Amino acid sequence: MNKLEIINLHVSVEDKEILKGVNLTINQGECLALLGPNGHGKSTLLAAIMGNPHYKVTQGKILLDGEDVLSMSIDERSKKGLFLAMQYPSEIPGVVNQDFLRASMNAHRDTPIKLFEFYRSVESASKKVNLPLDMVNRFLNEGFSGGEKKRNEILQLILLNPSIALLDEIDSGLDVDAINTIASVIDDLHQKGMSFLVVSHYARLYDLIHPTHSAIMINGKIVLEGDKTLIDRVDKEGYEFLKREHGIDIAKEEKKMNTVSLGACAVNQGTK
Amino acid sequence: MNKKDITNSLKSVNVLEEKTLNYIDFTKVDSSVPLSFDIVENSFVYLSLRGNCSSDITFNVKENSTLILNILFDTQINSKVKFALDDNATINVSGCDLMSSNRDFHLTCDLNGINSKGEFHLACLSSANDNKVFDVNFNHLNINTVSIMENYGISKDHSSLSFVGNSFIQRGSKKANARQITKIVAFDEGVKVKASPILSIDENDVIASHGASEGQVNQDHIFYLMSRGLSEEEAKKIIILGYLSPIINYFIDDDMKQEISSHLDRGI
Repeated sequence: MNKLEIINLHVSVEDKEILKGVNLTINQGECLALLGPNGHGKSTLLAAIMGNPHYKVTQGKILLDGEDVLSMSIDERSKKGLFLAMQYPSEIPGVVNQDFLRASMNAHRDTPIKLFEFYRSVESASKKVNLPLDMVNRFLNEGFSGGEKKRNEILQLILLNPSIALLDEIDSGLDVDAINTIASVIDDLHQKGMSFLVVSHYARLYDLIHPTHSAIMINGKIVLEGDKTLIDRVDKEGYEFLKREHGIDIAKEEKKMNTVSLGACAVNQGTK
Repeated sequence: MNKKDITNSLKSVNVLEEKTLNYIDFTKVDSSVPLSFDIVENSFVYLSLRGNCSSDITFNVKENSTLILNILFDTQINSKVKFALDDNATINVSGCDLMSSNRDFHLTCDLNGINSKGEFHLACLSSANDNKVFDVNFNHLNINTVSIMENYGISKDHSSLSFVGNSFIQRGSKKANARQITKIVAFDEGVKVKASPILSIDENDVIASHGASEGQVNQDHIFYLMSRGLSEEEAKKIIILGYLSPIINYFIDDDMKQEISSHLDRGI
């Protein structure tokens, strides 16, 4: 049994509250499609579940089979069966993909994986996501195209085989063939019992992975839940019907002015 | 490739043998006197250095010749190393400094000849109370000259680490190409790090670039790795190894490669 419960979750980023009391439950084997306009908290929810330190949980609970997820470190959450496929996976120079994959797989095992078994697993997963096997010799996500990064996320999903996968716009930037490829993997894992929380703006992906139910997040709250027909309606009509039929105002996404640097040739004193 | 220890046969002026991994271990000799090496025309020469060395070392790299120089900073190498390159000459210098000690290393490469090319690659770890300074200078003094400088450093504990890179392009050195990359990760709060990339250019028809960053371990990278099950310590280790371990690819001597690899596994 793998049940993820999100109860009255409030999350802030830099003192601005993004999630304002989210309630959601995902039972084992379910696939929840999370919809909503840009900037309303979908990615924040996924990042908070995984424990991204940029996102501060100010109130509420996240429970995995009744266990308090919020008290777990990020790696503990992974070992308990949570997996986040990121919208913008980090490029980590110098870290060779196969070293990372092997370390990740070993982190989920009692005994280190044998080299032959590791290569067989990676070879099999690479074929499923249509990535060349020599990709494992490259630095982690560095120089990968947008599509390769997303395929690499799904490759890790296959290798780590979590109980609940959180997919954050896994289809963005992918061509039609690539969407079909990764959707086939997701659907296959779903059939085998893996649970999913999937964020996407496109009905095409949802048509291929067959969500069991859906929810719409507006202004940091779940405002409507339903089945596949809700996804089809949003695809056809957008979110305007929420105001007409449910009286829900949709706050516009704030667009900050870009910071413009007039200087150059300076030493970057940051975190890169 | 044959490895030849030339430590005990060093003279003030030396000619290095071709197609041989020439090897000098300064821990075995007193090396406070200046040394000079001539790389003869049309030759391809390997040299590995290690040990205590405080002398000034000069390399004269003649036409159409190549010098591959590996330096393992395992104790006290506080030298001034100078290179003078003739037409079509190339040097490729790689240094690995994982030893806890102070360091004051200066390298100057005069790209005198047409099409001469110099590369310098460094991986450095400073820890405890180390004070390490690397001062690397490439002087473009002719046309079609190329210099590449890549410095990667980690500073831990209360150490300080400074990379000064200076690429000078003299007027008339058309089509010169100078590139510098410097990255330093400040691992702990108490460290002092400084990256100073300097381009001094007196010619218009050139390509030149520099990039330098100094900062802490990228928290997004840590989060990404931890989200796959690695502990924070493991995540930091794999990132640090990623910074320093690529230097191994530039080393020729298998013994040195093994030593660097073991040191990285043990010491980070």
